[in-house]
Amino acid sequence: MDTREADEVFRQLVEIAESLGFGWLTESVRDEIIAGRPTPEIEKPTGSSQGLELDRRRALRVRELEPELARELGSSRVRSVAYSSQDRLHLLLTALEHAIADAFKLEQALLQFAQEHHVSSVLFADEAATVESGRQVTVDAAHVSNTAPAVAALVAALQQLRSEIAR
Amino acid sequence: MNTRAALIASIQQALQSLSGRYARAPGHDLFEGYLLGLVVRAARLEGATVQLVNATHGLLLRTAPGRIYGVSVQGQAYSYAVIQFAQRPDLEAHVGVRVEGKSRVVHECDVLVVHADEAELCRRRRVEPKSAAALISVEGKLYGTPLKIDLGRSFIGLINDLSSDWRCLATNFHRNEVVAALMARNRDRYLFQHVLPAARGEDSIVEFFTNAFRRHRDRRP
Repeated sequence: MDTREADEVFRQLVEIAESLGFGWLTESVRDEIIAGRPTPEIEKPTGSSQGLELDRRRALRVRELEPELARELGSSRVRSVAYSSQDRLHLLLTALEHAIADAFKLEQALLQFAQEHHVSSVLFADEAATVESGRQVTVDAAHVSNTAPAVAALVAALQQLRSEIAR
Repeated sequence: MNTRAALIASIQQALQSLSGRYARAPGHDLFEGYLLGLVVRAARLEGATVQLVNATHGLLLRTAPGRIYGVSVQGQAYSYAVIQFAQRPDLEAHVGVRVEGKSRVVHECDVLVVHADEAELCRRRRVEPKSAAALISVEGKLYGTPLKIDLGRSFIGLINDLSSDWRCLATNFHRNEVVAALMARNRDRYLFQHVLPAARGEDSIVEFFTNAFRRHRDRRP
């Protein structure tokens, strides 16, 4: 997927997600894009063994002659690198998967925990003293079985699209 | 319709059917409930007897941090787990309750394992438990992107003010370079990443909890 295509898919998915109420999720993806990826400025040499040996010798030489420079080279310097268009799309797909598939996995695990203790459902309810009013969410076997197909379809589509980014 | 357009249409269709449930907010409360399950699992692995309290008509958990003595809008008491080891003081595991720190500031604690006598006193007097009476405190973060630095900083501030023996930050997200680097500077700062059912972080955090319970169980009276 080239840069232009990745940008277009990103734009379409953001539009879809926001229209369906996932604005909090696209916002967190945008925050991550603005922050950039923290990347070590000095990376470990990855060249040939001869190249590595040269780097080691050079490092030893620097340490002998320029102790301050050696300290600087040896310390971990980090810079924020901008995400590429493909990375941005990858971030969005991952965020969508975490937001829904992870939440569903947690619901399944929580229900299993309850059932192990002979309890058939889990109810989330606001506390009387909070400013929220009457919000309730129930996790039970019917919810899990009704939701599973849509979650599976979503995960499959997200993974397929993710694999296309690399092509 | 080409393959890519079909994929986007599939995503849209699935999101439409799931948005009613999952679009409102990230499932922080689900994550906290799941962490309670892991705490209970660890306690049982170490030989504890565990009983869920206030769970006759289903497990009742909070949607947001509340008070250990609080009740739901419907007037029902929230569920918690009583953890008993032979010849050791009983413990209680709670989800989403406030706790008093060393500075006397009240913090929100996503999962709290506290001595049962302290919990009972707090329910009777309608006060917050002291963190000194807690064995475990867990901060849970369910995120779709890497944890930001402000979360790491706030956790460090939190654990500095809590005196529970075992304190950790748990997240479902698998790779959090910034927060991991921040936490790595101190051995008392425990970060568990990729904590999800059957994921590698689940085993690590359960081991952390079992260590805590083992120390509690084996401590001389």
